[in-house]
Order: sequence, then structure tokens, then C-alpha cells
Amino acid sequence: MTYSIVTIMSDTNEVFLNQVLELRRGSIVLAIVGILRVKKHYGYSLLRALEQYNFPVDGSTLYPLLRRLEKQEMLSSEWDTTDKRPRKYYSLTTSGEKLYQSLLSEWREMNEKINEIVKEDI
Amino acid sequence: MKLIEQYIYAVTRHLPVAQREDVANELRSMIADELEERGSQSKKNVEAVLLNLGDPDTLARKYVGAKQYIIGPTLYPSFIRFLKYGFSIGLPIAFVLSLIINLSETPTSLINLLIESVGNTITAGIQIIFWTSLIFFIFERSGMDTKEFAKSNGLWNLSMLPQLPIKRQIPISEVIADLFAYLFFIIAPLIVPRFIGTTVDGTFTPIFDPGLWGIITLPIILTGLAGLTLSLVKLFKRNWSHNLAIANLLFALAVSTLLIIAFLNVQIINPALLTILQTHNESANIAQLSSWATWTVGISIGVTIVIYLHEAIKRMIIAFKPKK
Repeated sequence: MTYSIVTIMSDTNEVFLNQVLELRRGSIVLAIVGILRVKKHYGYSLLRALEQYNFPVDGSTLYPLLRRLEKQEMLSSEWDTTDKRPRKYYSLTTSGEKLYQSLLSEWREMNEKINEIVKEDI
Repeated sequence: MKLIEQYIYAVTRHLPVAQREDVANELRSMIADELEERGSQSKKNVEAVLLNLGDPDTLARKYVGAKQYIIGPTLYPSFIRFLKYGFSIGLPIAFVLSLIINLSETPTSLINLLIESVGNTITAGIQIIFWTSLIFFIFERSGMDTKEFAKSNGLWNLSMLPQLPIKRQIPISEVIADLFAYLFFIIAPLIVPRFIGTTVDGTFTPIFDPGLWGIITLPIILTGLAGLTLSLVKLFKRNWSHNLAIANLLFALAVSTLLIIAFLNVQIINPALLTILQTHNESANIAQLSSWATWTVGISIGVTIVIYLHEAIKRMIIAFKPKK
């Protein structure tokens, strides 16, 4: 009996986690460009910055994502060799800035709509 | 450290050559940053960092942005639809072609003929699956707008919506099954006596009595033709009218009667074949063998009749049930 309850709970938990992941997935890019438009970062420092905002992202997700955004010309990069080890710094391009603006307004709109839908619960 | 270089190599070997060095440098720098954060370059720390980055193949795929599926969700329904068309057109053609080609070559037994044709049909099916998958695989990766593509190439449009089921409709599968069954009825009497039997010392002895076969060939072929006509009517009407259901039942009764009469009045197995068996194998209990054969045929006929009549009566019920 206990076993079946545990199973049901862990199943529900998995569904729950998957939904949360889905919700987060779309917002990662917004978080990244949001941080990079203020200050350029290299991979690891961006990982840290995201953590400080309580928005932790896996390196294995972040690093390839940075590269893809660079390929799409949302980010530009340069190697800085003056540090104790060479680091690749990413910063926002003009297209990246536009992406940030449109993602942000979409985010705000969506937020409003969701708030409207759930307003009885607020 | 060797382990780190191994990991970096495991990731970058999957990447385009032009990117490899850059990605390797970046990964090396990030791993070093992380190790610094952890305090030391101990083996334990290195392992932890690498484990945290996860499966290098997965990481490489993320870098490439490669699709990890053969056919994505947008094209999948089109793919299945395409396969269905391919099967419904290709497989019957493959089967019939194979029959014709095998028949026109060397004379072979009916069983071999069927096995060969079914084999060829399965091969054709595999070919259809392979080529369809390959074509869709290429579409999927060609970077075209798959949704637009599915729309513009007629892989999906409004005219493909299924018709609402008509009351008392005769399913097309049933009509096709009928057509094949009655074609078989017509063809089998012409083939079986020639190919099924035994050849001893260059003379061929068919399994069924040729005398009997001469008598029942004509009724069987006529029945087959009548059945074919009936199924053609079904094909064009596609609907169980009262008359069609009655005709269907009468036909089923006629076939059943014919089968029973044939079974009761004739010796099924060719007596000449039984004699040959007896001379070649003295210990064979021919009487028992013969009765065993008769029983087998009898039971098959009985089961066939029961199923056949049951189906015909079901059609009557469908046709005469008042419309809601």
C-alpha cells in the first residue's frame, strides 16, 4: 500500500518537474541576454551570475546555448588573453538587443495575461 | 590533465572542424574556472566537474544543434499517411506481380508460389518503409519549413478529412477481401490439380481425385463468378440495402449447400495417390490416412460454413435494423 502511494507521488512529481522545466526553458534566453546587456561575461562568470539571481542553469545547457546565440548573431564574442587564462567574453549585439526587447515585452504581456487568468487566486 | 583533454576530445570530435579548436579552448577555460572555484585540481574535483557537464555526446549534439529524431512531430502524421498510401497501393501490386512472374517462370507448387509471393510482398513493404523514411529524413533536415511543406505538397489538406461514417456502410476492406477470396475460388481449381500432388517416376499424381475435380470444377468456378459479381455490386453500392443483404445470405446458403453436397458425395483424396503411398510405404495405414484427411477437410468446411453464415446473418441484422 505504502509502495503504491510512493509510486503515485513520484509520478506526479515527475510530471510537475517536467512542466516546470518546460516553463523555464523558454525564459533562459531572456535571462541570459538580460544579464549580458548590462555587462559582458565569459561562460563560467555568466553561470555564476545566473546563480546569484537564483536562476541556476546547467553548464551543459548554457555553453552550447551561448554558441548558438552567437551563431544567430545575437551575441558577439572575443577572446581575452590578458587574464591569467584566456577567456571568451560574450556581449550583446544590436540584434541581441532587439531580441531582448521583444522577448521582454512578450514576457510582460504573457505575465499580464496569466495574472488576468489567475486573478481570483491572487 | 589527461581526463579533461579526453572529455574535450569526446565532445569536439563530433563538431565541424572549423569550430573544434574554439569550442575546445572555451571548454578548457570553463572547466579550469570551475576547478578553481572548487579549490584544487584533484582527480576527485575533475571527475565531479566532468560528470556535472554530462555525457559528451549529448553535449556535442547541443553544440551542433542536431535533431535527435529521424522524423519530427510536424512531419510525422504526413509520414504515416504517406506510408499508408504506399502500402495500400504498393503491397497488392507487389503481391500480384510476384504471383504473375512466378507463375510465368517454372511451374511450382501452390504453397511455394504463395510463400514466394508473400516473401516478395514483405520485401516490398520494407523497401517502402526504407525509402519513405529516407525521403522524410532528408525533408526534416533540409531546413525547410516542414509545416508549410506538409501543407503545400498535399500531404495534408481539408479534402483529406475522413467522411463521416454512412449508416450500414460496407467497409472497403471487406469488399477487397471478398474480391480476393472469389478470385482465388476461380483460380484455385485451375492451379491446384496441376501443382499439388506427388511425382513418382516422372508421372504426376494430384492429391485430389481428378475425376471428382472434373465434376466440381465448374460449380466452384461458377460460384466464384457469382461471388465476384456480388462483391462488385457491394463495391458500387457500398451500403447494405435489404436486397443486397438477402442476396448475400442466399449466396452464403448456396455455397454452404454446395460444399456439403460435394463433401458427402465424393471421395476427396485421389485413390491413385493412396495406392502410390501404399506401394511406397507398406506400413502406412492408408485407410486411417484417408479418414484423417476426410475429417480434416470436413471440419474445415464445417468451420467455414459456420463463420460464413454467421457473417451473412449479421449483415441481415445490420440491413434490417430500423434507422435511428
